[in-house]
Amino acid sequence: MSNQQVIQTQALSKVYKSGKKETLVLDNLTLDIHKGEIFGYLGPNGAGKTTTIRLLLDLIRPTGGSATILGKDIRADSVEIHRRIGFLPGELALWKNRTATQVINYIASVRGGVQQQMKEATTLADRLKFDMTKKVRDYSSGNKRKLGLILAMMHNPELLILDEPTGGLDPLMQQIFHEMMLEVRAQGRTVFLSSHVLSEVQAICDRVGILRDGALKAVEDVATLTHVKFRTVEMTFRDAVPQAWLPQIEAIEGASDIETDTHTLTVTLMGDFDPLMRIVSEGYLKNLRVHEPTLEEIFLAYYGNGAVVQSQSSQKPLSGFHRASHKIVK
Amino acid sequence: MVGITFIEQLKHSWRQILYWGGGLALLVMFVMSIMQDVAVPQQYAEMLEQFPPAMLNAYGLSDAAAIATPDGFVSFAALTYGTIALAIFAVVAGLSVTANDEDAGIMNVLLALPIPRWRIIVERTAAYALIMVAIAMLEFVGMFFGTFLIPDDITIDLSKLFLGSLNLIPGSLTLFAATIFFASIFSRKIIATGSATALVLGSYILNILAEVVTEDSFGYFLGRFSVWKYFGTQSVVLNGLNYTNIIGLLLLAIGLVAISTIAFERRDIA
Ligand SMILES: Nc1ncnc2c1ncn2[C@@H]1O[C@H](COP(=O)(O)OP(=O)(O)O)[C@@H](O)[C@H]1O
Ligand SMILES: [Mg+2]
Repeated sequence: MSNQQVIQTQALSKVYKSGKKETLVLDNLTLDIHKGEIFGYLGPNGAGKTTTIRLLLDLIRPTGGSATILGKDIRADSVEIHRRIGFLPGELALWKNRTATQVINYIASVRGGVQQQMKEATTLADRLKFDMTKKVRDYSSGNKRKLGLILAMMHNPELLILDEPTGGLDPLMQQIFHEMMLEVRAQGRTVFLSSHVLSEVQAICDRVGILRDGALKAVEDVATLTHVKFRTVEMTFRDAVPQAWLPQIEAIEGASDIETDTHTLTVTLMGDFDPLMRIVSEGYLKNLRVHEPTLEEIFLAYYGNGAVVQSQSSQKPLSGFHRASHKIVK
Repeated sequence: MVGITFIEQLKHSWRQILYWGGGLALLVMFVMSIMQDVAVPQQYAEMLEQFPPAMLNAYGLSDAAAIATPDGFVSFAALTYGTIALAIFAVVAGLSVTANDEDAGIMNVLLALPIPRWRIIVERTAAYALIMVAIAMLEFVGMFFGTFLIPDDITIDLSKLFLGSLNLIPGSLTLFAATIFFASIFSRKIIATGSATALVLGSYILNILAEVVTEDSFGYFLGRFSVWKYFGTQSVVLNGLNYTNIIGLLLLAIGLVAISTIAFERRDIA
Protein backbone atom coordinates (compact mmCIF):
# COMPACT_ATOMS: atom_id res chain seq x y z
CA MET A 1 0.00 0.00 0.00
CA SER A 2 2.47 2.64 1.07
CA ASN A 3 5.01 1.64 -1.54
CA GLN A 4 3.00 3.51 -4.16
CA GLN A 5 3.24 6.63 -2.02
CA VAL A 6 6.67 8.07 -2.39
CA ILE A 7 6.13 10.81 0.16
CA GLN A 8 3.53 10.65 2.90
CA THR A 9 3.18 13.33 5.50
CA GLN A 10 0.87 13.05 8.48
CA ALA A 11 -0.10 16.31 10.20
CA LEU A 12 3.44 17.60 9.75
CA SER A 13 3.92 20.88 11.62
CA LYS A 14 6.73 23.27 12.30
CA VAL A 15 6.89 26.07 14.80
CA TYR A 16 9.95 28.30 14.81
CA LYS A 17 10.86 29.65 18.19
CA SER A 18 13.02 32.69 18.62
CA GLY A 19 13.11 33.91 22.17
CA LYS A 20 9.52 34.04 23.37
CA LYS A 21 8.11 34.42 19.88
CA GLU A 22 6.67 31.35 18.22
CA THR A 23 5.71 31.26 14.56
CA LEU A 24 3.68 28.48 13.05
CA VAL A 25 5.26 28.05 9.64
CA LEU A 26 3.76 24.71 8.64
CA ASP A 27 0.34 23.75 9.91
CA ASN A 28 -0.65 20.07 9.95
CA LEU A 29 0.46 19.18 6.44
CA THR A 30 -1.06 15.93 5.29
CA LEU A 31 -0.05 15.08 1.76
CA ASP A 32 0.64 12.03 -0.39
CA ILE A 33 2.94 12.07 -3.37
CA HIS A 34 2.42 9.15 -5.73
CA LYS A 35 5.08 7.15 -7.46
CA GLY A 36 5.84 8.36 -10.98
CA GLU A 37 4.24 11.76 -10.75
CA ILE A 38 5.57 15.28 -11.00
CA PHE A 39 4.09 17.16 -8.12
CA GLY A 40 4.13 20.94 -7.98
CA TYR A 41 4.23 22.47 -4.54
CA LEU A 42 3.02 25.94 -5.19
CA GLY A 43 2.90 28.96 -2.97
CA PRO A 44 4.07 32.54 -2.61
CA ASN A 45 7.33 33.43 -0.92
CA GLY A 46 7.17 32.69 2.78
CA ALA A 47 4.38 30.13 2.41
CA GLY A 48 6.48 27.37 3.97
CA LYS A 49 7.67 25.44 0.92
CA THR A 50 11.33 25.42 1.86
CA THR A 51 10.42 24.59 5.45
CA THR A 52 8.47 21.54 4.25
CA ILE A 53 11.37 20.38 2.13
CA ARG A 54 13.89 20.88 4.93
CA LEU A 55 11.66 18.84 7.22
CA LEU A 56 11.47 16.03 4.68
CA LEU A 57 15.27 16.01 4.43
CA ASP A 58 15.70 15.87 8.21
CA LEU A 59 17.61 19.16 8.19
CA ILE A 60 15.08 20.54 10.65
CA ARG A 61 12.79 18.63 12.97
CA PRO A 62 9.01 18.73 13.05
CA THR A 63 7.17 20.22 15.99
CA GLY A 64 4.41 17.74 15.33
CA GLY A 65 3.39 14.99 12.97
CA SER A 66 5.47 12.57 10.96
CA ALA A 67 6.40 11.68 7.43
CA THR A 68 7.77 8.84 5.37
CA ILE A 69 9.73 8.86 2.15
CA LEU A 70 9.84 5.67 0.08
CA GLY A 71 8.15 4.00 3.03
CA LYS A 72 10.91 4.96 5.47
CA ASP A 73 10.67 7.31 8.41
CA ILE A 74 12.28 10.67 7.62
CA ARG A 75 13.89 10.87 11.06
CA ALA A 76 14.99 7.32 11.82
CA ASP A 77 15.97 6.28 8.30
CA SER A 78 17.32 9.54 6.95
CA VAL A 79 20.63 8.10 5.74
CA GLU A 80 18.91 5.32 3.80
CA ILE A 81 16.42 7.81 2.34
CA HIS A 82 19.17 10.22 1.32
CA ARG A 83 20.86 7.45 -0.64
CA ARG A 84 17.77 7.15 -2.82
CA ILE A 85 16.80 10.78 -3.35
CA GLY A 86 18.29 13.81 -5.04
CA PHE A 87 17.89 17.27 -3.59
CA LEU A 88 18.30 20.72 -5.05
CA PRO A 89 18.18 23.46 -2.42
CA GLY A 90 16.49 26.75 -3.18
CA GLU A 91 19.67 28.65 -2.54
CA LEU A 92 22.51 26.40 -3.49
CA ALA A 93 25.69 27.08 -1.53
CA LEU A 94 28.91 25.15 -2.13
CA TRP A 95 32.57 25.51 -1.30
CA LYS A 96 33.57 28.59 -3.27
CA ASN A 97 37.20 27.68 -3.83
CA ARG A 98 36.59 24.23 -5.24
CA THR A 99 35.92 23.45 -8.85
CA ALA A 100 32.63 21.94 -9.94
CA THR A 101 34.50 18.74 -10.79
CA GLN A 102 35.92 18.54 -7.26
CA VAL A 103 32.50 19.09 -5.72
CA ILE A 104 30.86 16.53 -8.00
CA ASN A 105 33.60 14.05 -7.21
CA TYR A 106 33.31 14.48 -3.47
CA ILE A 107 29.53 14.22 -3.41
CA ALA A 108 29.65 11.19 -5.67
CA SER A 109 32.14 9.51 -3.39
CA VAL A 110 30.06 10.16 -0.29
CA ARG A 111 27.19 8.41 -2.07
CA GLY A 112 29.43 5.66 -3.43
CA GLY A 113 29.85 4.57 -7.03
CA VAL A 114 31.96 7.46 -8.22
CA GLN A 115 32.66 6.32 -11.79
CA GLN A 116 29.05 5.80 -12.72
CA GLN A 117 28.02 9.12 -11.24
CA MET A 118 30.87 10.98 -12.91
CA LYS A 119 29.78 9.52 -16.23
CA GLU A 120 26.20 10.58 -15.66
CA ALA A 121 27.37 14.01 -14.47
CA THR A 122 29.30 14.49 -17.70
CA THR A 123 26.24 13.58 -19.74
CA LEU A 124 24.08 15.98 -17.77
CA ALA A 125 26.69 18.74 -18.07
CA ASP A 126 26.78 18.31 -21.84
CA ARG A 127 23.06 18.53 -22.03
CA LEU A 128 22.88 21.61 -19.81
CA LYS A 129 25.89 23.16 -21.57
CA PHE A 130 27.70 23.36 -18.28
CA ASP A 131 31.48 23.73 -17.98
CA MET A 132 32.59 21.69 -14.95
CA THR A 133 36.14 22.99 -14.76
CA LYS A 134 35.53 26.36 -13.13
CA LYS A 135 35.55 27.23 -9.49
CA VAL A 136 32.22 27.52 -7.75
CA ARG A 137 32.81 31.21 -7.04
CA ASP A 138 33.06 31.92 -10.77
CA TYR A 139 29.67 30.55 -11.76
CA SER A 140 26.66 32.75 -12.41
CA SER A 141 23.50 31.93 -10.51
CA GLY A 142 22.10 30.13 -13.54
CA ASN A 143 25.21 27.98 -13.83
CA LYS A 144 25.13 27.23 -10.12
CA ARG A 145 21.57 26.00 -10.60
CA LYS A 146 22.82 23.68 -13.33
CA LEU A 147 25.52 22.37 -11.04
CA GLY A 148 22.87 21.81 -8.39
CA LEU A 149 20.75 19.86 -10.84
CA ILE A 150 23.71 17.71 -11.82
CA LEU A 151 24.45 16.97 -8.16
CA ALA A 152 20.82 16.10 -7.55
CA MET A 153 20.43 13.89 -10.60
CA MET A 154 23.76 12.18 -11.28
CA HIS A 155 22.93 9.11 -9.18
CA ASN A 156 19.56 8.57 -10.89
CA PRO A 157 17.56 8.80 -7.67
CA GLU A 158 14.07 7.41 -7.30
CA LEU A 159 12.80 10.72 -6.00
CA LEU A 160 13.88 14.26 -6.83
CA ILE A 161 13.10 16.99 -4.32
CA LEU A 162 13.71 20.32 -6.00
CA ASP A 163 13.23 23.67 -4.30
CA GLU A 164 12.38 26.27 -6.94
CA PRO A 165 14.49 24.51 -9.57
CA THR A 166 14.19 26.90 -12.48
CA GLY A 167 14.98 30.16 -10.72
CA GLY A 168 17.88 31.75 -12.61
CA LEU A 169 17.65 29.43 -15.61
CA ASP A 170 17.15 31.07 -18.98
CA PRO A 171 14.10 30.02 -21.05
CA LEU A 172 16.07 27.60 -23.20
CA MET A 173 17.48 25.86 -20.13
CA GLN A 174 14.04 25.81 -18.55
CA GLN A 175 12.86 23.95 -21.61
CA ILE A 176 15.67 21.43 -21.25
CA PHE A 177 14.86 21.13 -17.56
CA HIS A 178 11.23 20.39 -18.39
CA GLU A 179 12.28 17.70 -20.82
CA MET A 180 14.54 16.17 -18.21
CA MET A 181 11.72 16.06 -15.69
CA LEU A 182 9.41 14.40 -18.17
CA GLU A 183 12.08 11.77 -18.84
CA VAL A 184 12.46 11.16 -15.13
CA ARG A 185 8.73 10.59 -14.92
CA ALA A 186 8.79 8.32 -17.95
CA GLN A 187 11.27 6.13 -16.08
CA GLY A 188 8.77 5.76 -13.26
CA ARG A 189 10.67 8.07 -10.98
CA THR A 190 9.04 10.81 -8.95
CA VAL A 191 9.55 14.57 -8.78
CA PHE A 192 8.49 16.87 -5.97
CA LEU A 193 9.20 20.45 -6.92
CA SER A 194 8.32 23.70 -5.28
CA SER A 195 7.62 26.81 -7.22
CA HIS A 196 5.99 30.17 -7.08
CA VAL A 197 5.64 30.24 -10.84
CA LEU A 198 2.27 28.91 -11.91
CA SER A 199 2.98 28.63 -15.59
CA GLU A 200 5.87 26.32 -14.90
CA VAL A 201 3.82 24.08 -12.66
CA GLN A 202 1.08 24.11 -15.23
CA ALA A 203 3.53 23.11 -17.94
CA ILE A 204 5.08 20.04 -16.35
CA CYS A 205 3.23 18.94 -13.23
CA ASP A 206 0.65 16.21 -12.96
CA ARG A 207 -0.71 17.44 -9.69
CA VAL A 208 -0.38 20.61 -7.79
CA GLY A 209 -0.76 21.53 -4.14
CA ILE A 210 -1.27 25.11 -3.09
CA LEU A 211 0.28 26.25 0.13
CA ARG A 212 -0.49 29.57 1.70
CA ASP A 213 0.64 30.76 5.12
CA GLY A 214 1.77 27.27 6.03
CA ALA A 215 -1.55 25.65 5.25
CA LEU A 216 -2.29 23.40 2.31
CA LYS A 217 -5.22 25.03 0.57
CA ALA A 218 -5.83 22.59 -2.22
CA VAL A 219 -4.47 19.58 -4.05
CA GLU A 220 -5.70 18.90 -7.54
CA ASP A 221 -4.87 17.33 -10.86
CA VAL A 222 -3.56 19.94 -13.25
CA ALA A 223 -5.58 18.30 -16.02
CA THR A 224 -8.82 18.61 -14.04
CA LEU A 225 -8.16 22.24 -13.44
CA THR A 226 -7.17 23.23 -16.93
CA HIS A 227 -10.16 21.33 -18.20
CA VAL A 228 -12.31 24.11 -16.85
CA LYS A 229 -12.73 26.38 -19.84
CA PHE A 230 -13.39 29.97 -19.14
CA ARG A 231 -11.77 33.21 -20.14
CA THR A 232 -12.04 36.86 -19.48
CA VAL A 233 -13.23 39.02 -22.34
CA GLU A 234 -12.35 42.68 -22.34
CA MET A 235 -14.02 44.93 -24.91
CA THR A 236 -13.34 48.60 -25.51
CA PHE A 237 -16.03 50.66 -27.29
CA ARG A 238 -15.83 54.03 -28.97
CA ASP A 239 -18.90 55.23 -27.04
CA ALA A 240 -20.00 54.65 -23.50
CA VAL A 241 -21.25 51.16 -22.73
CA PRO A 242 -25.07 51.26 -22.66
CA GLN A 243 -26.45 50.24 -19.28
CA ALA A 244 -29.22 48.38 -21.07
CA TRP A 245 -26.75 45.65 -22.10
CA LEU A 246 -25.96 44.60 -18.59
CA PRO A 247 -29.12 42.68 -17.69
CA GLN A 248 -28.97 40.95 -21.08
CA ILE A 249 -25.36 39.90 -20.55
CA GLU A 250 -26.12 38.74 -17.04
CA ALA A 251 -28.76 36.51 -18.53
CA ILE A 252 -26.18 34.66 -20.64
CA GLU A 253 -25.50 31.26 -19.19
CA GLY A 254 -21.88 31.05 -18.04
CA ALA A 255 -21.30 34.79 -17.89
CA SER A 256 -20.16 36.31 -14.63
CA ASP A 257 -18.12 39.07 -13.07
CA ILE A 258 -19.48 41.69 -15.36
CA GLU A 259 -17.75 45.02 -14.97
CA THR A 260 -18.06 48.27 -16.87
CA ASP A 261 -15.92 51.35 -16.92
CA THR A 262 -17.54 53.86 -19.33
CA HIS A 263 -15.90 52.54 -22.51
CA THR A 264 -14.81 49.11 -21.42
CA LEU A 265 -16.74 46.03 -20.58
CA THR A 266 -15.24 43.01 -18.90
CA VAL A 267 -16.97 39.66 -18.68
CA THR A 268 -15.82 36.27 -17.54
CA LEU A 269 -17.26 33.84 -19.94
CA MET A 270 -17.75 30.12 -19.98
CA GLY A 271 -19.24 28.62 -23.10
CA ASP A 272 -19.63 30.20 -26.52
CA PHE A 273 -18.94 33.77 -27.58
CA ASP A 274 -21.97 34.15 -29.81
CA PRO A 275 -24.63 35.23 -27.26
CA LEU A 276 -22.33 37.98 -26.04
CA MET A 277 -21.40 39.18 -29.53
CA ARG A 278 -25.06 39.50 -30.52
CA ILE A 279 -25.76 41.80 -27.57
CA VAL A 280 -22.81 44.09 -28.17
CA SER A 281 -22.98 44.11 -31.96
CA GLU A 282 -24.82 47.45 -32.11
CA GLY A 283 -21.87 49.21 -30.47
CA TYR A 284 -18.68 50.24 -32.28
CA LEU A 285 -16.03 47.86 -30.94
CA LYS A 286 -12.54 49.37 -30.95
CA ASN A 287 -10.63 46.63 -29.24
CA LEU A 288 -11.20 43.09 -28.05
CA ARG A 289 -8.95 41.12 -25.76
CA VAL A 290 -9.48 37.57 -24.60
CA HIS A 291 -7.48 36.51 -21.61
CA GLU A 292 -7.01 32.82 -20.87
CA PRO A 293 -7.16 32.13 -17.15
CA THR A 294 -4.03 31.33 -15.23
CA LEU A 295 -3.93 28.34 -12.95
CA GLU A 296 -4.31 30.74 -10.09
CA GLU A 297 -7.54 32.11 -11.42
CA ILE A 298 -8.81 28.63 -12.08
CA PHE A 299 -7.99 27.70 -8.52
CA LEU A 300 -9.80 30.69 -7.16
CA ALA A 301 -12.76 29.98 -9.35
CA TYR A 302 -12.69 26.35 -8.35
CA TYR A 303 -12.43 26.73 -4.66
CA GLY A 304 -13.62 30.22 -3.99
CA ASN A 305 -11.35 32.55 -2.20
CA GLY A 306 -9.25 31.05 0.56
CA ALA A 307 -11.37 27.95 0.98
CA VAL A 308 -9.52 25.17 2.72
CA VAL A 309 -10.09 22.14 0.62
CA GLN A 310 -8.14 19.06 -0.07
CA SER A 311 -9.90 17.20 -2.78
CA GLN A 312 -8.28 14.60 -4.94
CA SER A 313 -11.28 13.71 -7.08
CA SER A 314 -14.56 15.34 -6.21
CA GLN A 315 -15.82 17.82 -8.76
CA LYS A 316 -16.86 21.05 -7.19
CA PRO A 317 -19.71 23.02 -8.73
CA LEU A 318 -18.38 26.05 -10.50
CA SER A 319 -20.39 28.63 -8.67
CA GLY A 320 -19.66 32.27 -9.26
CA PHE A 321 -16.24 32.93 -10.72
CA HIS A 322 -14.10 35.33 -8.83
CA ARG A 323 -11.97 37.74 -10.66
CA ALA A 324 -8.44 37.04 -9.65
CA SER A 325 -7.88 40.11 -7.62
CA HIS A 326 -6.03 38.08 -5.01
CA LYS A 327 -2.62 37.17 -6.19
CA ILE A 328 -1.29 33.81 -5.21
CA VAL A 329 1.96 34.70 -6.77
CA LYS A 330 4.07 37.56 -5.61
CA MET B 1 31.54 5.98 2.39
CA VAL B 2 33.65 5.85 5.51
CA GLY B 3 36.73 8.06 5.46
CA ILE B 4 35.78 10.04 2.36
CA THR B 5 35.06 13.18 4.32
CA PHE B 6 38.26 12.72 6.33
CA ILE B 7 40.31 12.50 3.14
CA GLU B 8 38.40 15.38 1.53
CA GLN B 9 39.17 17.57 4.52
CA LEU B 10 42.86 16.70 4.45
CA LYS B 11 42.98 17.29 0.72
CA HIS B 12 41.65 20.81 1.12
CA SER B 13 43.34 21.76 4.38
CA TRP B 14 46.79 20.19 4.39
CA ARG B 15 48.31 23.43 3.17
CA GLN B 16 47.47 24.90 6.56
CA ILE B 17 50.26 22.71 7.89
CA LEU B 18 52.68 24.62 5.69
CA TYR B 19 51.31 28.04 6.56
CA TRP B 20 51.06 27.58 10.30
CA GLY B 21 53.76 24.98 10.92
CA GLY B 22 56.13 26.49 8.38
CA GLY B 23 55.59 29.94 9.82
CA LEU B 24 56.32 28.70 13.31
CA ALA B 25 59.42 26.84 12.13
CA LEU B 26 60.81 29.99 10.52
CA LEU B 27 60.08 31.97 13.66
CA VAL B 28 61.87 29.39 15.79
CA MET B 29 64.89 29.43 13.52
CA PHE B 30 64.98 33.20 13.74
CA VAL B 31 64.88 33.05 17.56
CA MET B 32 67.67 30.50 17.61
CA SER B 33 69.82 32.50 15.24
CA ILE B 34 69.89 35.31 17.80
CA MET B 35 71.49 33.05 20.36
CA GLN B 36 75.09 33.28 19.24
CA ASP B 37 76.43 33.13 22.80
CA VAL B 38 75.50 31.22 25.99
CA ALA B 39 75.32 34.59 27.69
CA VAL B 40 72.24 35.54 25.70
CA PRO B 41 69.76 33.34 27.57
CA GLN B 42 71.36 34.25 30.90
CA GLN B 43 71.03 37.95 30.19
CA TYR B 44 67.40 37.44 29.21
CA ALA B 45 66.73 35.52 32.42
CA GLU B 46 68.31 38.25 34.55
CA MET B 47 66.32 40.88 32.80
CA LEU B 48 63.08 38.97 33.15
CA GLU B 49 63.65 38.42 36.87
CA GLN B 50 63.02 42.14 37.32
CA PHE B 51 59.52 41.72 35.93
CA PRO B 52 56.50 41.02 38.13
CA PRO B 53 55.56 37.32 38.10
CA ALA B 54 52.15 38.03 36.61
CA MET B 55 53.76 39.50 33.56
CA LEU B 56 56.07 36.57 33.10
CA ASN B 57 53.08 34.35 33.41
CA ALA B 58 51.33 36.22 30.69
CA TYR B 59 54.13 34.97 28.49
CA GLY B 60 53.77 31.47 29.80
CA LEU B 61 56.82 31.62 32.01
CA SER B 62 56.51 30.55 35.62
CA ASP B 63 60.12 30.94 36.57
CA ALA B 64 62.62 33.26 34.88
CA ALA B 65 65.47 30.88 35.74
CA ALA B 66 63.91 28.33 33.42
CA ILE B 67 65.12 30.26 30.43
CA ALA B 68 68.69 30.74 31.58
CA THR B 69 69.76 27.61 29.72
CA PRO B 70 69.82 27.39 25.92
CA ASP B 71 67.11 24.67 25.93
CA GLY B 72 64.98 26.74 28.23
CA PHE B 73 65.46 29.85 26.17
CA VAL B 74 64.55 28.17 22.91
CA SER B 75 61.61 26.35 24.34
CA PHE B 76 60.33 29.48 26.02
CA ALA B 77 60.52 31.62 22.94
CA ALA B 78 59.49 28.98 20.45
CA LEU B 79 56.86 27.17 22.42
CA THR B 80 55.16 30.35 23.55
CA TYR B 81 54.62 31.26 19.93
CA GLY B 82 53.59 27.68 19.24
CA THR B 83 51.05 27.71 22.04
CA ILE B 84 49.48 30.94 20.92
CA ALA B 85 49.48 29.96 17.26
CA LEU B 86 47.94 26.58 17.96
CA ALA B 87 45.32 28.07 20.28
CA ILE B 88 44.25 30.38 17.45
CA PHE B 89 44.40 27.55 14.96
CA ALA B 90 42.28 25.43 17.30
CA VAL B 91 39.46 27.96 17.07
CA VAL B 92 39.85 28.41 13.31
CA ALA B 93 39.83 24.65 12.76
CA GLY B 94 37.01 24.09 15.23
CA LEU B 95 34.82 26.47 13.28
CA SER B 96 35.65 24.62 10.06
CA VAL B 97 34.16 21.38 11.35
CA THR B 98 30.51 22.48 11.16
CA ALA B 99 30.10 26.22 11.74
CA ASN B 100 31.55 27.51 8.46
CA ASP B 101 29.53 25.19 6.25
CA GLU B 102 26.39 25.76 8.27
CA ASP B 103 26.84 29.51 8.12
CA ALA B 104 27.36 29.36 4.35
CA GLY B 105 24.34 27.11 3.80
CA ILE B 106 26.50 24.25 2.55
CA MET B 107 25.24 21.95 5.32
CA ASN B 108 21.96 21.74 3.41
CA VAL B 109 23.76 20.00 0.58
CA LEU B 110 26.02 17.91 2.77
CA LEU B 111 23.36 16.59 5.13
CA ALA B 112 21.04 15.69 2.28
CA LEU B 113 23.65 13.06 1.37
CA PRO B 114 23.70 9.57 2.86
CA ILE B 115 26.04 10.49 5.70
CA PRO B 116 25.01 10.80 9.34
CA ARG B 117 25.74 14.09 11.02
CA TRP B 118 28.03 12.58 13.62
CA ARG B 119 30.33 11.24 10.96
CA ILE B 120 30.88 14.65 9.46
CA ILE B 121 32.05 15.83 12.88
CA VAL B 122 34.19 12.79 13.60
CA GLU B 123 35.90 12.62 10.20
CA ARG B 124 36.64 16.32 9.99
CA THR B 125 37.79 16.42 13.60
CA ALA B 126 40.20 13.59 12.92
CA ALA B 127 41.56 15.38 9.87
CA TYR B 128 42.17 18.61 11.74
CA ALA B 129 43.65 16.80 14.74
CA LEU B 130 46.18 15.28 12.37
CA ILE B 131 46.90 18.70 10.91
CA MET B 132 47.48 20.13 14.39
CA VAL B 133 49.90 17.35 15.27
CA ALA B 134 51.71 18.06 12.01
CA ILE B 135 51.93 21.78 12.80
CA ALA B 136 53.47 21.03 16.20
CA MET B 137 55.90 18.62 14.61
CA LEU B 138 56.85 21.12 11.92
CA GLU B 139 57.70 23.55 14.67
CA PHE B 140 60.05 20.94 16.07
CA VAL B 141 61.59 20.56 12.62
CA GLY B 142 62.25 24.30 12.78
CA MET B 143 64.05 23.79 16.11
CA PHE B 144 66.05 20.98 14.63
CA PHE B 145 67.28 23.12 11.74
CA GLY B 146 67.76 26.00 14.17
CA THR B 147 70.50 24.02 15.92
CA PHE B 148 72.62 24.46 12.81
CA LEU B 149 72.37 28.22 13.19
CA ILE B 150 73.90 28.39 16.66
CA PRO B 151 77.59 28.09 17.58
CA ASP B 152 78.94 24.61 18.33
CA ASP B 153 79.78 25.41 21.93
CA ILE B 154 76.12 25.92 22.77
CA THR B 155 74.56 22.55 23.39
CA ILE B 156 70.88 22.06 22.94
CA ASP B 157 68.99 19.01 24.11
CA LEU B 158 66.71 18.30 21.16
CA SER B 159 64.83 15.57 23.01
CA LYS B 160 63.60 18.15 25.52
CA LEU B 161 62.49 20.43 22.72
CA PHE B 162 60.71 17.51 21.11
CA LEU B 163 58.79 16.84 24.30
CA GLY B 164 57.97 20.53 24.50
CA SER B 165 56.56 20.42 20.97
CA LEU B 166 54.56 17.29 21.74
CA ASN B 167 53.14 19.00 24.77
CA LEU B 168 51.55 21.65 22.57
CA ILE B 169 49.16 19.09 21.17
CA PRO B 170 46.82 18.05 24.02
CA GLY B 171 45.97 21.58 25.13
CA SER B 172 45.28 22.80 21.61
CA LEU B 173 43.17 19.73 20.88
CA THR B 174 41.08 20.57 23.93
CA LEU B 175 40.49 24.12 22.71
CA PHE B 176 39.72 22.69 19.27
CA ALA B 177 37.16 20.31 20.78
CA ALA B 178 35.64 23.11 22.84
CA THR B 179 35.14 25.16 19.67
CA ILE B 180 33.49 22.19 17.95
CA PHE B 181 31.26 21.88 20.98
CA PHE B 182 30.18 25.53 20.84
CA ALA B 183 29.43 25.21 17.13
CA SER B 184 27.39 22.08 17.80
CA ILE B 185 25.08 23.78 20.26
CA PHE B 186 24.83 27.23 18.66
CA SER B 187 23.56 27.36 15.11
CA ARG B 188 24.83 30.89 14.66
CA LYS B 189 28.51 31.03 13.81
CA ILE B 190 29.07 34.38 15.46
CA ILE B 191 27.94 33.02 18.82
CA ALA B 192 30.10 29.91 18.47
CA THR B 193 33.10 32.06 17.50
CA GLY B 194 32.49 34.45 20.37
CA SER B 195 32.19 31.63 22.89
CA ALA B 196 35.37 29.92 21.71
CA THR B 197 37.33 33.18 21.71
CA ALA B 198 36.03 34.00 25.16
CA LEU B 199 37.15 30.59 26.38
CA VAL B 200 40.66 30.94 24.97
CA LEU B 201 41.16 34.49 26.23
CA GLY B 202 39.30 33.87 29.48
CA SER B 203 41.30 30.86 30.49
CA TYR B 204 44.50 32.61 29.44
CA ILE B 205 43.72 35.47 31.81
CA LEU B 206 42.48 33.10 34.48
CA ASN B 207 45.77 31.25 34.31
CA ILE B 208 47.77 34.43 34.79
CA LEU B 209 45.64 35.55 37.72
CA ALA B 210 45.77 32.16 39.40
CA GLU B 211 49.56 32.28 39.46
CA VAL B 212 49.72 35.50 41.45
CA VAL B 213 47.16 34.67 44.11
CA THR B 214 47.66 32.41 47.12
CA GLU B 215 47.04 28.70 46.77
CA ASP B 216 44.02 28.63 49.10
CA SER B 217 42.18 31.42 47.29
CA PHE B 218 39.21 31.04 44.99
CA GLY B 219 41.19 32.52 42.11
CA TYR B 220 43.72 29.71 42.38
CA PHE B 221 40.91 27.19 42.41
CA LEU B 222 39.42 28.76 39.28
CA GLY B 223 42.81 28.66 37.61
CA ARG B 224 42.65 24.90 37.68
CA PHE B 225 39.90 25.15 35.10
CA SER B 226 42.09 27.03 32.69
CA VAL B 227 43.24 24.91 29.81
CA TRP B 228 46.37 27.03 29.61
CA LYS B 229 47.53 25.87 33.01
CA TYR B 230 47.97 22.44 31.55
CA PHE B 231 49.93 23.54 28.52
CA GLY B 232 52.85 23.87 30.95
CA THR B 233 55.50 24.36 28.29
CA GLN B 234 58.32 25.39 30.62
CA SER B 235 57.89 22.65 33.11
CA VAL B 236 58.14 20.12 30.29
CA VAL B 237 61.68 21.23 29.56
CA LEU B 238 62.53 21.13 33.27
CA ASN B 239 60.54 18.09 34.37
CA GLY B 240 59.46 16.18 31.27
CA LEU B 241 55.91 15.43 30.17
CA ASN B 242 53.12 15.45 32.73
CA TYR B 243 51.12 12.43 31.70
CA THR B 244 48.24 13.14 34.07
CA ASN B 245 47.68 16.50 32.44
CA ILE B 246 48.01 15.08 28.95
CA ILE B 247 45.61 12.23 29.51
CA GLY B 248 43.19 14.58 31.27
CA LEU B 249 43.22 17.05 28.39
CA LEU B 250 42.84 14.35 25.75
CA LEU B 251 39.92 12.77 27.60
CA LEU B 252 38.30 16.16 27.92
CA ALA B 253 38.75 16.72 24.19
CA ILE B 254 37.27 13.35 23.30
CA GLY B 255 34.38 13.92 25.68
CA LEU B 256 33.63 17.31 24.15
CA VAL B 257 33.62 15.89 20.63
CA ALA B 258 31.33 13.07 21.75
CA ILE B 259 28.88 15.53 23.28
CA SER B 260 29.12 17.65 20.13
CA THR B 261 28.01 14.78 17.91
CA ILE B 262 24.94 14.31 20.11
CA ALA B 263 24.12 18.01 20.33
CA PHE B 264 24.55 18.53 16.59
CA GLU B 265 22.37 15.51 15.83
CA ARG B 266 19.50 16.88 17.86
CA ARG B 267 19.11 20.39 16.59
CA ASP B 268 17.78 22.16 13.51
CA ILE B 269 20.32 23.13 10.88
CA ALA B 270 20.26 26.86 10.27
N1 LIG C 1 14.93 29.49 10.84
C1 LIG C 1 13.80 30.22 10.84
N2 LIG C 1 13.39 30.86 11.96
C2 LIG C 1 12.26 31.58 11.97
N3 LIG C 1 11.45 31.72 10.91
C3 LIG C 1 11.79 31.12 9.77
C4 LIG C 1 12.98 30.33 9.67
N4 LIG C 1 13.06 29.84 8.42
C5 LIG C 1 11.97 30.30 7.77
N5 LIG C 1 11.21 31.06 8.58
C6 LIG C 1 9.93 31.70 8.21
O1 LIG C 1 9.05 30.70 7.83
C7 LIG C 1 8.21 31.14 6.77
C8 LIG C 1 8.26 30.16 5.64
O2 LIG C 1 9.51 30.21 5.05
P1 LIG C 1 9.93 29.26 3.85
O3 LIG C 1 9.62 27.87 4.21
O4 LIG C 1 11.33 29.59 3.50
O5 LIG C 1 8.93 29.77 2.71
P2 LIG C 1 9.00 29.54 1.12
O6 LIG C 1 10.06 28.57 0.81
O7 LIG C 1 7.63 29.05 0.77
O8 LIG C 1 9.26 30.88 0.51
C9 LIG C 1 8.69 32.52 6.41
O9 LIG C 1 7.81 33.45 6.99
C10 LIG C 1 10.05 32.61 7.02
O10 LIG C 1 10.32 33.92 7.40
MG1 LIG D 1 11.73 28.86 -0.39
